[in-house]
Amino acid sequence: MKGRAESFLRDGWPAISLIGILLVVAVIGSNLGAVDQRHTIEILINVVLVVGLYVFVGNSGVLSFGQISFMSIGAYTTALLTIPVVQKNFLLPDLPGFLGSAEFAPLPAALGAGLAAVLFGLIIVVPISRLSGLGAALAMFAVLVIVYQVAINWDAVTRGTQTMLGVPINTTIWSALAWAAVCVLIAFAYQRSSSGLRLRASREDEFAARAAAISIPKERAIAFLISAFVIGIGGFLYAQFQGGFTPAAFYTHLTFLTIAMLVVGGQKSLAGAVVGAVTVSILSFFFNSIEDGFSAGPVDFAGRDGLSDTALAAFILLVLLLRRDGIMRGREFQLRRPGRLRSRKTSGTVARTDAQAEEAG
Amino acid sequence: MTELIQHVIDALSLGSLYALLALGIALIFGIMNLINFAYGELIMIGAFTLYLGRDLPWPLQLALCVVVVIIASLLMDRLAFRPFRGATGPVLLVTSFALSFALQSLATVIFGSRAKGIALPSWFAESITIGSVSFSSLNLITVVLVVVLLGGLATFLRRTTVGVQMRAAAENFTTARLVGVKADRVIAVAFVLSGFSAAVAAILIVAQRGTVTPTVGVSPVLIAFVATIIGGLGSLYGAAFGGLLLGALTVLLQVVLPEGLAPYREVFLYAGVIVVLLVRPQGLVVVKALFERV
Repeated sequence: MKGRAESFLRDGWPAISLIGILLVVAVIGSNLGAVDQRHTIEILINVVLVVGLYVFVGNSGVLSFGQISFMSIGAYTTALLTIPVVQKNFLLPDLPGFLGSAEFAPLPAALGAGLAAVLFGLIIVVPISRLSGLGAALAMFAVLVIVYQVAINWDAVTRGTQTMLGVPINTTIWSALAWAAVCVLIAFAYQRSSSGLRLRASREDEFAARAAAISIPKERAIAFLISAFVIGIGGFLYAQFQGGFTPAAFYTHLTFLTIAMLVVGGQKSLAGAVVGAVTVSILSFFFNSIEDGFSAGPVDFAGRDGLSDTALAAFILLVLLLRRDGIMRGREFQLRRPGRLRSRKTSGTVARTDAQAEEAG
Repeated sequence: MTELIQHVIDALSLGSLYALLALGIALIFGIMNLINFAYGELIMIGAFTLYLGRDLPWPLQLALCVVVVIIASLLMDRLAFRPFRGATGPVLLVTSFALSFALQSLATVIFGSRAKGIALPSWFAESITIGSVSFSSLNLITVVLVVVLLGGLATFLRRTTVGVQMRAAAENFTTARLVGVKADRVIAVAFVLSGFSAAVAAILIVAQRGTVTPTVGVSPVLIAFVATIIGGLGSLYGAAFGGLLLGALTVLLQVVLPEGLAPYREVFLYAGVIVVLLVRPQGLVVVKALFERV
């Protein structure tokens, strides 16, 4: 029995270690002041978003500028499903059908948000999964613009440019942590599944993968839909965290920020996604607090608009300059087998570390 | 009939501006495989140079804008992109995002985020009437300027040594280097040309809007990005054509959409972009050398 538990621990370590990191972040955050507690929730939501982005971009190697549109759909679905009926009749009098009378608890609302994102994903997945490279990135950007424009103009359902408000605030550090852990597990399970491995093979060498009878569009579609679900959940968490939002929250700024988090962490591994999201989020809060001004002893710093963004961008450039493949360099956290040193030679691509993990397990 | 001519003029002038922007992106992409999102910030730098030089006589003001933007473009290559030569697509892309973001924020630090008004010479905004068709002189200037620039660029690429080297590098960078093309020089020339197009775009955009903000370059660069990809990455003619097409489509949608659907103009535009991508995934003008042969 002991051997079994040990091998379970070793196999699952890449996911367990990441959930451990998130737990540490949550525990530290919950002991800080009110502002930092909010920041902790934001970090965990960013983890959900970047892990969702990673499921598609990281595994397939195809960049997407449009995954945040799934967050928009998740957030608006959450709003429509959870705003108390009395308030809804007042805010959105023209709501069609059963949405006007729906009032869901958080858990079903979260699943609803994820499924709505998947449904939308199903509409666009067939064309998108056939495109590669920048074509796919641009097509998803077009999707992002379309979702944004519809959200801004469809007053009856989204309140247009006005703030969608009255969403019950249920997201706590612990619920965000639970969802982040679930999403890490989903992503981990996917990347170890046969479909995930086939997709990762196609990322390393498209033509060799095709020669081995891998249907790239099919594997990409599966990853795309899982990514949609996870990011839809991110939208749910965001909606129930902020209570109110406008379409602009789910547009280019967040798109670029989440992509930057993924690339800074290292887009080829799940650990890269989580580490990138946590690091960049924490730094951005830190820089923000500097921007607000501080006085340390004789130094009186007034702060100025735009400083924190400048510092954040400089940090991202610096990381890329020093470590092109991101902080994690495509590696997962692995548990070392006792008495055996990790071979230096295998530090290259993920395909190799995957193979090594198989061998070790 | 009059109305039709009016719309054609609008489409041409918008399309020319888009073509100019797309060229600025395509020039760099062809050689370096880099979509330079910080191109928008070159436009922003140009716009703020115009703002700072607002008290100068206008020829000096415009010349200053061109010089400053070209220097900024060269510096961008030297300081930000040269260390990343040979990096993969996503890394280059995020580098250019981060650079774009850094420059935007820096402009916010220096100038604040409120819009600043600039008045350019009045002959930019004069209205010209021929028969029953009237249009602003800015429309005319845009079209003429872009046509002249395109012609100049085509001549440069065909007739000069550096131009031929640039085309060779765009087609196959490694082979071009093997036959003695100096990589850094060709890239520097591409950045100079790209900077020049950004400066001209800055002048035209500022003349149109009359204000400048740190985010002035964001939507132009996105349009350029879209135009370059649907036109066919790596092809300069494709990029110019993509820009013209995008401008024409925008004006067409403005004209034909019924009032109820008018706010959804961009939805139709981008749906059209997706359709183009599906029909021709490599863009409208395909450069064979860019795709791996199997």
